[in-house]
Amino acid sequence: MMKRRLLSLCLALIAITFLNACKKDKLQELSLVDLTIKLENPPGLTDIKLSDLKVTFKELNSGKESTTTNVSDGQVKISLADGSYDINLEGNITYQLDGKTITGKTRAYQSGVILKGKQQTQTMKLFLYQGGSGFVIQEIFYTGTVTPEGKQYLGDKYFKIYNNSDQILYADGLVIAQSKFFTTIKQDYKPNIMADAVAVDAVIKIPGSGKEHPVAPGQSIVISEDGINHKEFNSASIDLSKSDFEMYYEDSDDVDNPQVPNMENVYSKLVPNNRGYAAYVLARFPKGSADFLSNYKYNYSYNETFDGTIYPIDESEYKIPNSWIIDAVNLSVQSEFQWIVTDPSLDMGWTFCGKVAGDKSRYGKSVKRKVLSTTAEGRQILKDTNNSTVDFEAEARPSLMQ
Amino acid sequence: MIRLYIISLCFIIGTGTACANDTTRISRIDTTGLRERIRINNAPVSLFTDVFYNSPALKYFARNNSLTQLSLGFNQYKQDLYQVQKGSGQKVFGFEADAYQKNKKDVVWGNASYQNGKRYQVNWNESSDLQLIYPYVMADTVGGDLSYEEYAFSGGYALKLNQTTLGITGKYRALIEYRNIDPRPKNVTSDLEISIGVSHPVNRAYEIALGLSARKYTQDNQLKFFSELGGPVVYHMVGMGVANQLLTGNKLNAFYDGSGSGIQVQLIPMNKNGFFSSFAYNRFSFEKVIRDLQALPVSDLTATTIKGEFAYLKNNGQNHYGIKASILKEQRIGVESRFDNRGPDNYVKISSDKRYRNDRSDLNLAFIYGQQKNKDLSWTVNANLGLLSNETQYIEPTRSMEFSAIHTTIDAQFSLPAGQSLIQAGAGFTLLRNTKGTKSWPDLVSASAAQQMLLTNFAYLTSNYNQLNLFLRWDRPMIKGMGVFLKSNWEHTTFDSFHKGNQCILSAGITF
Repeated sequence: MMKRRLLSLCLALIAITFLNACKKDKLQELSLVDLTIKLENPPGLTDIKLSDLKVTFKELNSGKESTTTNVSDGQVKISLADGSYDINLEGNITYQLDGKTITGKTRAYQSGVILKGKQQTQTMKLFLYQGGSGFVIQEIFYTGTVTPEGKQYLGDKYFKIYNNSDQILYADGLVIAQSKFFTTIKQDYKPNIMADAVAVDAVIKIPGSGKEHPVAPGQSIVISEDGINHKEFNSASIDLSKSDFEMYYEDSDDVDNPQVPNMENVYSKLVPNNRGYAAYVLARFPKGSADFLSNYKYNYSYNETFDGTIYPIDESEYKIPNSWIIDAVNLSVQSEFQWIVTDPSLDMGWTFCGKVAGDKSRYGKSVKRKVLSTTAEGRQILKDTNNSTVDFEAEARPSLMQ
Repeated sequence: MIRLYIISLCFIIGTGTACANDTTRISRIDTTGLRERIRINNAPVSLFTDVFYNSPALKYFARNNSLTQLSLGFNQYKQDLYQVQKGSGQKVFGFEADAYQKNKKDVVWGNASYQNGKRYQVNWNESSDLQLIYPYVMADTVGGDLSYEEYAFSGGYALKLNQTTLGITGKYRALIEYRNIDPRPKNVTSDLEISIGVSHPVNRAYEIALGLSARKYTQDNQLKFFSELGGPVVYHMVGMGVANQLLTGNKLNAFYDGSGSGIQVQLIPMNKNGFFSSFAYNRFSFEKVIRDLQALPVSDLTATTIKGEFAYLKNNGQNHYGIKASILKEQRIGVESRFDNRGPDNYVKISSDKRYRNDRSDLNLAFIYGQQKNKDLSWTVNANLGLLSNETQYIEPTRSMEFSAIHTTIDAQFSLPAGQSLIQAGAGFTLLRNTKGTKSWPDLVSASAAQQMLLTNFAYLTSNYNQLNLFLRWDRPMIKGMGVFLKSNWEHTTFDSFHKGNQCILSAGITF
């Protein structure tokens, strides 16, 4: 009798275990946020008609991208999971201006939009976009090289500027500037001028009186750190002795090749960050360098937080109005990226060499603009949609590297 | 300071008893010879029911004889098909002291061990104790061999008061794992578990026991790169090859803070003849924080394990036969947070969701039959038939993997007195056949490193294999009730994909 009871107890225990073992709780789908985006038309235009709008949402934690073309009555509707999103809109626009009907392209961009809860409404400002057909930044080799001994080698970085038009253009007076703000450090800078200008901390300019440096359609010029044959010092480097221009800073321990003309140093020293944390802009100063230095100072402030303590910081740099800027490229790395440091109308993406700060695989790589098409005459037209993410080949082999 | 105190206590309980027992045991050696105690301790029929004596109170009934064993050992295994996070094998040297002292009214036991080893080709994992914290490991695609040192101490005491038996056990394990070339993890883990138990007779033949346990676990997981050129991308994995992209890069310091509890109920026959049953429920959860982001909690996981076992054993002193059924189910649920990146080191939580789930079950049916003789050949045949299944699901992105297998083992063991010596030997053969293997990760780029990692793991987890296991142990009593022993194990695995694995264990020591 007792044995039967014991057996029953044993079997009961086993049954409990077995029943629990058979129970499987499937994961529930994530709760969704019903998002409505109200589109604000570009100011000053009338009779606006939007078409072929495509909106892309990238969730920054998962990297998941969702797209929708569900746009009607100036509103985009979509359901998305909780998260932090970069939102990117592209499409066509038709409008009336000065009595004429114009058809073009429109865009909108917003980063770090937080979606949480059940319903949310967001506004996005549309802006007009025109593809570049003049000078463009074709390539930036900013990572440098490594010697066969595994040491960093300095001085062999370069910029390549390309004539993307079908006419001869003159490089005289072209300006290359490095952004003051890093794409990897986001602060609440006041005043925020990004919608109107780019804050810069180093500016160099191609010398010339206006027509001294012609660049034929489909041709490019090279502006190097040091215009010498670096392969004589580092077999893994590049021969830059045929550069069109080089940077030279007399008060630094710098190399000056007399065979290569020097760039004009407008402001500070341009030393490309070899991790790619900055943005670079190509611009022209309509009234020259003196006017820029006199009238385009940018005084700003922000709060630096360190170990929970807030330190107010006041600084002063220069700013280049967006209307002067011909082209812009934001650089960053995935692990550190915080924000784009130009207005989205100049560049609404970013490109990279290396995926992490201090990524040792970045050396010997550049960012290179993609080829959109080739004309019947063999001239390459480079892709310039003002979105470096799609316009550039990241981690490319430098074009000047043999 | 508290930790030091606990370590000292465990050490005293664990190893102190092993040494102290020497003086109190001489009287027992006369009643049961060393050779016989070794034979009984290692007999398959003893091991067949050991699992029912986990509760501290039931340790009193686990063995009738005392035995202490000190050993030095070497263990090496390598296989060319493996789970990349675990590595392709390891080589380890170790020392172990194990003691069980049975007295009339109480029992005391202890264990202390030290291991110094190296795990080979560990990849996609720079954390330690993978089986505890998976899938929330820190990872990179470089990896390499990992050196480690592990210290473990445990000890317990059970006291019989009239009819009731009370027991307590303490276990402490500390692990330091590191690599001296980039990437350089330095992981320090600490794992403490305390169990208490009480048992009482339900009649003249059976004892019922209740056990409760509590556990505290921590791991400090640091990674460094000394190369002036930098290092690779560091990921914080969240399961099925997914990593949080906002945390990807150079967040090199993580901390795991875990705790657990358990309850077990057991029913055993006091003379080891009859029905055995055991039911155990354990829960372990931990939180992972990223120290680089002001100790930001990023994920937590709760593992729930239920285990039920039932056996019937008939042992008349010479012949024995038995049957045992067991079922184990483990479920791991991972909760992860999404963040708003508001600037350097300033991540604010947006939401948390259950995103990872793993269900594992293992069903086994075992048979044993044999004869035991003290002064003649003893032999035992074991047969085991098992079903295992494993299902993993991840959402956002949606990925899943499922596999199951059927496995069977037959092994035969014998022990034979030879002069003053005792020879124990055995051979076993295991067949595992995969019965299901499905995978789905449609969002993953086919050439990506994560895809390659998942495919390698899937090939390993769904592979059929045959395994041959041989062991031999030689014991010789020497003087004053003390003996020496040599032991070797060899295991050879052949996977159906022409991959192979080999394991070799050698140990030598003294018993008393």
